[in-house]
Amino acid sequence: MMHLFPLLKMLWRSKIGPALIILQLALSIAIISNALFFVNNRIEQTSRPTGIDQAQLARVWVKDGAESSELQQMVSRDIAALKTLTGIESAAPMGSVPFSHSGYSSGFHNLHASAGDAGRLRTPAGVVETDHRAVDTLGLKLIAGRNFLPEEVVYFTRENTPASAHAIISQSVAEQVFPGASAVGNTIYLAGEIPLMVVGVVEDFLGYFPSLDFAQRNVLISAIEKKISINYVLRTEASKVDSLLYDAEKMLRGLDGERIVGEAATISQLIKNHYHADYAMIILLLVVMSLLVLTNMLGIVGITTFWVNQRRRQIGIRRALGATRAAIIRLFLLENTLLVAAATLLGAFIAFWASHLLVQRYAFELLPWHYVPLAGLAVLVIALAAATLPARRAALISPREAVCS
Amino acid sequence: MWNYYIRLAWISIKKTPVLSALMILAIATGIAASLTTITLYSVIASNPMAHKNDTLFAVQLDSWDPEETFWAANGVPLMLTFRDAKALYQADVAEETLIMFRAGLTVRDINGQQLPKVEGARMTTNSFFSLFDVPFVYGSSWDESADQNGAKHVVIAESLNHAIFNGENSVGKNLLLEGESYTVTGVVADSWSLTPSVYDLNINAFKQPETIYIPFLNIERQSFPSWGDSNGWKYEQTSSYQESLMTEQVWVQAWVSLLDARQYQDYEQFLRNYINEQKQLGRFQRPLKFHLNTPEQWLAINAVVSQDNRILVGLSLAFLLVCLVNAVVLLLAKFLRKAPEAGLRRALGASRQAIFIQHLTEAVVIGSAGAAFGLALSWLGLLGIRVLYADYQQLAVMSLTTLFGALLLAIVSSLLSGILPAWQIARAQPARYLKSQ
Repeated sequence: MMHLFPLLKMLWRSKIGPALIILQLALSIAIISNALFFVNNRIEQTSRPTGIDQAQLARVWVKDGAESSELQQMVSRDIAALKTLTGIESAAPMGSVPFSHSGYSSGFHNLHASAGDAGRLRTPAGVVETDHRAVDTLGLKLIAGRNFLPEEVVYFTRENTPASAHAIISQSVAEQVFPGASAVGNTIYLAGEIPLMVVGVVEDFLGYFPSLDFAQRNVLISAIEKKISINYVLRTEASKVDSLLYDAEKMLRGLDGERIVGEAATISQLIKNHYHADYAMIILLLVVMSLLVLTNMLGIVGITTFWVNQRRRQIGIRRALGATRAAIIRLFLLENTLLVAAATLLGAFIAFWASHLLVQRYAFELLPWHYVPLAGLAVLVIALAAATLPARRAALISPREAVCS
Repeated sequence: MWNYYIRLAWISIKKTPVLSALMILAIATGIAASLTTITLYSVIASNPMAHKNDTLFAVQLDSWDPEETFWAANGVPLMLTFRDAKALYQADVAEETLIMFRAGLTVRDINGQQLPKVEGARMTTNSFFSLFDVPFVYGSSWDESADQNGAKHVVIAESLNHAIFNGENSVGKNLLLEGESYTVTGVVADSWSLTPSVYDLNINAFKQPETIYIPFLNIERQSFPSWGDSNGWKYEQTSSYQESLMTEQVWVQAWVSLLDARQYQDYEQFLRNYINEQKQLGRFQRPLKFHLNTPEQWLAINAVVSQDNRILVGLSLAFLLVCLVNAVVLLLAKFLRKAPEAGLRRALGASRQAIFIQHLTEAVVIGSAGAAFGLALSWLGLLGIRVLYADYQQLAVMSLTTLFGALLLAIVSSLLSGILPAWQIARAQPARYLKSQ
C-alpha cells in the first residue's frame, strides 16, 4: 500500500489518459451489467418448467381432404392404428397443443353470467378440447379428483354446442376461481355461460402460446368440436420420439391418401421455435459482451505499454533503489486496480441511469444492484490479465536505464 | 500538403505496428457492431407504403366489451367484426374500401393428380391489388361483381402458377381450393413483397405474401380455416354458420383510401353516423371511438419494432462509444510518444495548426482502415443475424444507404477520436522536448 501515494500522483499528473480509460471501463461496466441482467432474464424465461413431459412428446396435424367425414370415427380409427406402432406409449386427439401457437382461450367463472356480479371470480385460461387420453399422454400430474372417463367424451358441431361437459382444470385456475375450496365437484362456467363439471385438478403446465401472461392456466374439456382438422399428440421414450414421429406420419398418410398430414414436430422442436428469438438475443448479447471484453483488453494492453515506455527511467531508478521485479509488476497491477475501482463507481451511475431510462420508457425491470459489482469484478479480472503482459516487460527493465540517457 | 501528411501518417503507423493494429481492430469492431444492428433496425423500422401515407388508412372501430378496454395497442381492437367490415364495404363511401382476412387453404390441380397441400391465402376485395401496388405477370384482378357475390375466382402467385400450371399463362384455367373449383383471373409477380408486410401485421410482421387470393365474400358461403388472429369478448350461442359470422368476434382487417381532406372528413362523419346507428341497435356500448391510421401509425400501433431491436441498437451504439474512447486513449498514447518529434517540427517553424492537422490526418487514416475492416466484419455480422433469425432473411442485407452510413460513421468517429489527441500534442511546448533530446 505504500506505493499508493506516488501512484495517485502519477495518475493525477497525466490526467487525460487515466480519465479516458476510467470512462471507457465505466461504460463497459454499465453495458456488461445491463447485458448480463438481460441474458439472465432470458435464460430464466426460456428455462421455465413446462409441466409436460416434453422430451417424450410429438405432434402431427391432420386435415380432412375433400368431404368432411365424421371426426369421431376418424379419430378412433387413427388412434387405434397409431397404437400399433412400435414404441408408442399413448396418443391423444387435442384441439390445441402446448407451444404450437394455435389455439384459443376464454374466461372461466365460478358463477353463471345471469347470476350477477356479486361474488364473481374469473380468470382467463387456455382451452384444450381433448379426451381421456390427454392427461397420461402429456404427463400431467393429477393433484385432486380424477381423469375423464371415456364415456364423458363428446364430439359436437358448432350448431349443436353441448349444454354441459366435464373439465380438468390446472392448479392456478382452481386457486383463482375456487379459492380456499375444493374445485373438484364444483361447476366452472366457460365464458360465464357453459357449465363444466370439474372432475380433476392438475399441476400447471404451459399452453399453446406461452407468451400469454396466463399461459400456465389451462382447462381440459372433454368435448371436441367437429372441425375438419385435429392434432394428435404421441408419447414414447425420449430416444424414440423422432422415429415414432416418422412412422406416425407415414401411417396417417397411408390410412387416407386424400387428406393432409402435416405440422409434424416433436414438442422439443416446438419449444425451441417458440424461444427462438430469446435464444438469438442471448447469443447476440453474449457476442457484444465478448467483443467489449476484447476491446477493453486491447485498450489496456496499449495504454499500459505506453505507460511502461513513458516511465522507463522511473522504473530504472526504482529498480536501482532496490525494488524487486515483482514489486514493479505489482505497481502496474495496482494502478489498473485503482482505475477499475474508480470505473466501477462511475459505471454504477451510468448503469442505473440507463436502466432507469429503460424502466421509464419501456417498462423494464430495474437493474438489481449486485450486477454492477459483478460486472466490475469481471472487468477487473480482464484488466489485470491484460496488464500482466506489459507489466512483465516493465519488470525486465534494467536498473542501468536510470543512469543512461 | 495532404500527400505529405498522409506519408507521415504511414511512416508513423509503420513505426508502431502493434499499437496501430490494435486501434484499427478496436474501431473496426465498434463500427461492425453498430452497423449490423443499425442495418437491421433501418429495415425493420422502414415503411414500404410511405408514398401513400396521406391517402391510405387502416380502420379501427371500438366495438369491444363495454366493461373492459381492448387489451392491446391503442385500446381499440385491431380488426373489425364481419358485420361492420361488410357494412363499410357495402356503404362504399371511401374512394376504395378493402376488407380481408388470412386463411390457409388446401390447394390442388383440377384433375387431382398432384398431392394436395396447404398454402396461405388472402381472402380479400379486389382493391388490395391496387392499394398495395401488386404487379401482375398475367391477367388481372377479378372485377367488382365477383367481389359482391363472392364468385369462385382466384389470383395466384407466380410460384404456385409454376407448381400447378408449369408457369404458363393460366388465366381462365381452374384449380381446386378446399375441394372446389376456382377460375384463375390473374398471376401475381413473385418479386412483390412488402417488408414489413404493412397490409397485415398480425402475428408476424415479416411474413411472405400469400400465394392465393380469392374474393372475400366467399366466406359467406362456407367457413374457411383461419390463419389469422381472432379475438372475442362475448359469448354468443349460434345455431348456424351464417349466424356465427354475425357475432362480436373481431377478425377482419379493413383499409380505406381517402384522397383529400374533404374525403377524409366525409368518411369520419360516415363512421360517426354508422357507430351511432349501431348504438341504437344495442351494439358499440363503449364511448364512440374509431381510428383511421396511416401506414406509419399502423406500424407503430402494431409495435413492429420490438424492444429487442431497440436494446440491440442502444447497446451497440454504447459499444461504439467504448471503442471510440478506446481509440482516443490509444491515439493519445501513440502521439505523446512522438511528442519529441513534434517538438522538433515546431522548433523548425511548423505552426500548431500544422501539427494538429498532421496528427488528425493520421487519426483519419487509421479510422478509415478501421472502417474498411469494420465493413467487412459487419458483412459477417449480418450473415450471423440471418443464421440466428429465420424471419430476417430478407432484412439483414447491406444496401447503398448502409455503405454510405458506414463511411460517414467512420469519418465522424475517427475525426472525433483524433481531435483530442491531436490537440494535446499540438499544445506541447517545443522547448521541453528539445532540452531532453
